[in-house]
Amino acid sequence: MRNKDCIALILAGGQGSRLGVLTKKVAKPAVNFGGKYRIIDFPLSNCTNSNIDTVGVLTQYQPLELNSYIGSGQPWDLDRSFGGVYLLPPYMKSETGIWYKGTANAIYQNMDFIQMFNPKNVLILSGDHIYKMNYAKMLDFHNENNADATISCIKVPWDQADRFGIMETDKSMRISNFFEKPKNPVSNMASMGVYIFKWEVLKNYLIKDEADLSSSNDFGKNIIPTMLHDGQKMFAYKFKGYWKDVGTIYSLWEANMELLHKKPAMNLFDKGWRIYSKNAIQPPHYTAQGAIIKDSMITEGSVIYGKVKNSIISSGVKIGKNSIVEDSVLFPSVVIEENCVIKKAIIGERSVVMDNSKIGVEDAIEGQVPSKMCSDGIVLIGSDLIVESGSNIAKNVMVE
Amino acid sequence: MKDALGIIFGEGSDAGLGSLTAKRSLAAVPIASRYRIIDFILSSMVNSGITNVGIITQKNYKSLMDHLGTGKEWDLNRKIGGLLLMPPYSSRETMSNENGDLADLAGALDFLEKSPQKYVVLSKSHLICNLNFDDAFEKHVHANAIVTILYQNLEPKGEISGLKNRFFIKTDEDDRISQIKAYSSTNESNKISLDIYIINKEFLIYLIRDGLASAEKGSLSEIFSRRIEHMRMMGYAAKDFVARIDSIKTFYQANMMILKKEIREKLFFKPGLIYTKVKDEAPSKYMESAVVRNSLIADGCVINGHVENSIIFRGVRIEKGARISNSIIMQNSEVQENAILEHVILDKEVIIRQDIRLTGQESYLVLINKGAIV
Repeated sequence: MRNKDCIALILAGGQGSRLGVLTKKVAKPAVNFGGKYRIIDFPLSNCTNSNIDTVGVLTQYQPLELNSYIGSGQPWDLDRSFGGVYLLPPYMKSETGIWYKGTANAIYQNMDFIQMFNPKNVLILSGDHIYKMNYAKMLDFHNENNADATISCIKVPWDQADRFGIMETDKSMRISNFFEKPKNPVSNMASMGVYIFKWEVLKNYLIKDEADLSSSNDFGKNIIPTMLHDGQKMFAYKFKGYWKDVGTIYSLWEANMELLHKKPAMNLFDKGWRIYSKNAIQPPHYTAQGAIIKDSMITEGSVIYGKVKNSIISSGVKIGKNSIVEDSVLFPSVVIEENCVIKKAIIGERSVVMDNSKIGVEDAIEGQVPSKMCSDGIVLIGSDLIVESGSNIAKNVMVE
Repeated sequence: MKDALGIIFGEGSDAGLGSLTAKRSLAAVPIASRYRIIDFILSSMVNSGITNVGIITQKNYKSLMDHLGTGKEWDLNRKIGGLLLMPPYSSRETMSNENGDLADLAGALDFLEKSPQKYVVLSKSHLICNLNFDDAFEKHVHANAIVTILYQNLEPKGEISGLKNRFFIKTDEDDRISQIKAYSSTNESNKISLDIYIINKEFLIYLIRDGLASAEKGSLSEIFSRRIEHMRMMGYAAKDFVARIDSIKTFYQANMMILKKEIREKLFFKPGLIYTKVKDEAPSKYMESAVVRNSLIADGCVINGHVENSIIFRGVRIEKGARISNSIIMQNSEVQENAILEHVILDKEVIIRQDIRLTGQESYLVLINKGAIV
């Protein structure tokens, strides 16, 4: 029987409720990013570039767009005859069928799938981070240590450490303690939610965890602490580089803006580590006679007549004459008509801002309630909306 | 149009784009920031519902093969039909490829015989167009024609240059063709053939066999003109924008025409989309000093200089102080600081060092070979 050394499973079922209207109709991993990508392109491309050719994508919440986006996996070279990409929603079994209860339960429910490939190791990823990582190196580290589990970790600012799973290790990087979201963190080495497990070992723990009715079936809360308690060999793998959780409106906006730095930490132009995506069928972008574009990224299919500064412009966007777009992220096929001013906004797919509108200019406007999701002056406009001529939308407002 | 297959000649019979075609076939010449010339006719066929396309290649077909791959970008990676590249074919009957179109088509005999379709849409690759053949096809079937030639009406005092090797047709009020004639100074017709044909497959097979036996030479236009008395040939007027690439000049003009809004909006979107090989480049980045006017720019570029009236391909770098106008800069070329380019065509992967100045004119374009360092 052919078997795989390592297969990957991406947890892509998250609702991403802190992204407000952006995840009203799509799962968080399908949210647009960087002009022509979606968040899930990053873990998928990392798999491809790390020579992992078998990837299960576990979907649950609003899977339609994600499913049609991933399709056969061809854009990531994952249309393989042995292996490739598999979409794995929860399904009815002979006696029962339930939603994925937690991260560990989601993997438990797909044990038959994993067994098909009989892998030595499984790589567990989450579908909501922006980063470039060579999982092959982590796998080497895992194998060298003959580890039962290896957890990738990154140093985070101390004041944020309470949001993560925090690890303590000895000098050889063997994990001695693991605390899920500790109130008083003892270290700032945070789990990135990237795990490699020996499949034979993980399998047993998944079965045991499922039988424990008091368990919340979560890797961070249950599986990892239990394994550690049992004295399994667990190592921390230090990741250095750009890694960003884009779980909030602000962090999503900020991650987009960071691409515009002169030498961005997330370099999308690296030909040795391309980020693949499903490309829209679009002609080159057109910059008109009177257009002014500075410090921005512009994608194919856009047509720019106005002024664009420090912004991310996705495919098929149109910006009319005398309009100004600053510090903003425009998702695919957004139309900004003439004489508009758009500041610090995220505008969802296919929305139209009609002429003479102002977005994100005024601090507050009577009758407009600032959203709890938005902060730092960011305006969020959902997808498929029409902002009527002459509208004025204040900072921190979310339009659904 | 499920009942038609497509055949495209990879080479124009009179191909000559200087060094642009030194190492690649005309079909594979890059155009319009992210395409190859063949993308337009191939996408037109696919958008007309043709799912079985054979491409006749003659020489230097490596870059064409690389571009087309399995045909997946055109949705032609199929079990039934799909894309078939037909490299040069020689046998005792076809010793040299100077024997004309029928000899070139000999390599397609097998493909024609084994395909289930009853009709063939046949074209050269060198047309920049976005066509739908449905209407022409219906008329062809309805008129019980053996061959339909697509033509365009030339404006009365249209440009005369470049017409030398072109064929004109005359038709009666029902669009039945009464004459096919090469251009001459006494030309009476304004109906210029696009060299796109809809042909009954059985007839095409007969023609190739017959042509091979009698070593009949010449282009299809000439061959059809010899048989005009004996067969029912119809004309079909195509009204969409079509640019024909047969010289550096027409190549340059076609690129520049795409800067016009009316042409761009039709050529890339109507009636269908134009497909090409995907390169997975990041969006293009405009830096602090970028000034771009009236230009088309593909993904993967980093721009920090001045660009005006130009066509910029994928992965091009334009550094601070560089000034580019009325030029075509192909994939992965690099224009360093303070270099000045006017009326220049840079082939792929060219490096223009800092402070270099290259100035051509519209009538005398400067063409820099692939991979050159200036």
